[in-house]
Amino acid sequence: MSEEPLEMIEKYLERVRIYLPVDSQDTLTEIRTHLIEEAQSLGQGKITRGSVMLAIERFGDPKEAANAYAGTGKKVGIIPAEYVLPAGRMAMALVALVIAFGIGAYFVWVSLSLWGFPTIENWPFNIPVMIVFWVGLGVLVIGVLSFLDKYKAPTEKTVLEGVLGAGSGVFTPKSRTDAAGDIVFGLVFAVILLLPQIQLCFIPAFLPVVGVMAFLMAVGAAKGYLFFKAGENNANLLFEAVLSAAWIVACMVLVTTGWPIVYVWNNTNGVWSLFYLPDLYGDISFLPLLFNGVWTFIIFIVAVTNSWQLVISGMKIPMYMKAGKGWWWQGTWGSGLHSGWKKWSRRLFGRQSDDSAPKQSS
Amino acid sequence: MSGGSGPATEEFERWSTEVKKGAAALAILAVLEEGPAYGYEIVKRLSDKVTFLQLEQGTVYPLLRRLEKERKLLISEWDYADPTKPKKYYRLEDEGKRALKMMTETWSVLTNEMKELLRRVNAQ
Repeated sequence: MSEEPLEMIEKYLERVRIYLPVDSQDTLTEIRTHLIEEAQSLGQGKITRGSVMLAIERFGDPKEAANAYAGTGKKVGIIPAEYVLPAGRMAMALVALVIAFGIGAYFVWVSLSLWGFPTIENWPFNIPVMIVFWVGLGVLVIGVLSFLDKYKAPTEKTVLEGVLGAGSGVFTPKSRTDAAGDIVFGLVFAVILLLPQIQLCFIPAFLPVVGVMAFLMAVGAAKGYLFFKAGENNANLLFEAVLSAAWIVACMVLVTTGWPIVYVWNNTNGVWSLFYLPDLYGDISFLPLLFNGVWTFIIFIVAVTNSWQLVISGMKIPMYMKAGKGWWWQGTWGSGLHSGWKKWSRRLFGRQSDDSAPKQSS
Repeated sequence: MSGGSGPATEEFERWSTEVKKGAAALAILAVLEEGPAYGYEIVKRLSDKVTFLQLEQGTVYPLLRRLEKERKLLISEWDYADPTKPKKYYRLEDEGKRALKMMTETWSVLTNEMKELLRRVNAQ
């Protein structure tokens, strides 16, 4: 089987996935098998681009196919039924983002007020206002993009799906390459943070939390190991959820310390020495504010990704429980982000790294 | 079968959709009476044997899912013999067999009576 026609099927399935509920791996596997067999039948035993295209066209529009599976009505409130699931996911992401931003902003406000900056008066009332604003903007964007996507072919991913599908990747199980990455980066950064030479570089206010950060990173490596060995199951998801919650709490503290690096190692003529960073500030007055801004942004991103991870685990655990899976089983792995990674992971870890592998029982 | 437009065509299309919808579940149960089959096999058998239904391929799977998950008439099992194409085999549950029996009886009565009724319509 040539790679290109199969990629067309995968792309079509990615489009269908956007409109399906989270627990739809079985459905996608079933559709995939159907499309392969139909394309083989149409191509008289061979899968060609033409036969795949025809098989996909026969199967129908991804929105309608997914909607028939999901069994939703024709319209839910003002939102067309096919957009309910992706729009719901986006709304959740926005809520998580706004909450994380609200928390971050609150602590930044606390730190800014300590420096004599004007304070934000309307917290926490800006949270519902921002949610309404973003949801309204989302509806407008969906309307405009739907109009632009009017004439796209069934095999072609639409702009709207690109937007709605943003973040839907986290609904697929973690890939083995990502899990391996968690192990390596978790351990490497934990060790780096604990090195006395590195700790010399930090401001005193940051030192008490360095150990906590190193601990969370090491725990992240342990989480990576569990996902690498056993794939996605409820015990691993719970582990991930607890770790995410711990990171969110840590972020609340971390954002108050401000930019933590006060010294950087400098090599002059083969001799290592510590360079005092505030020496730069004398010449460039906005640098302290810029560094603090960068730090707040980093913490904000960490808080958002962990909030989102917490939401996803919170959705997946009851879903697996409902399916009678219990807490521990040998789960599956998702695929990596890039096709290059997919090929390498297949070579390294075999076929199981394919996210289309169905669950063990129906 | 239909031609042109107008209220008669519209009514025919509405009626035809309803009949097909009702018959599709019966046809699937009847196909599975012959033995377990996976999705694509069912689609092929339906398109070969009941051309009247003209089922779109994408509509068979949601119907199978409904008969399995919601109505508990079918049971399914994955077959991984070919890892590139895992197959979900469906078979009738006891309740499915009972439903098929009752539906077949009703369908027979309906078709016999309708045949009788329509013979008079055709004779006019």
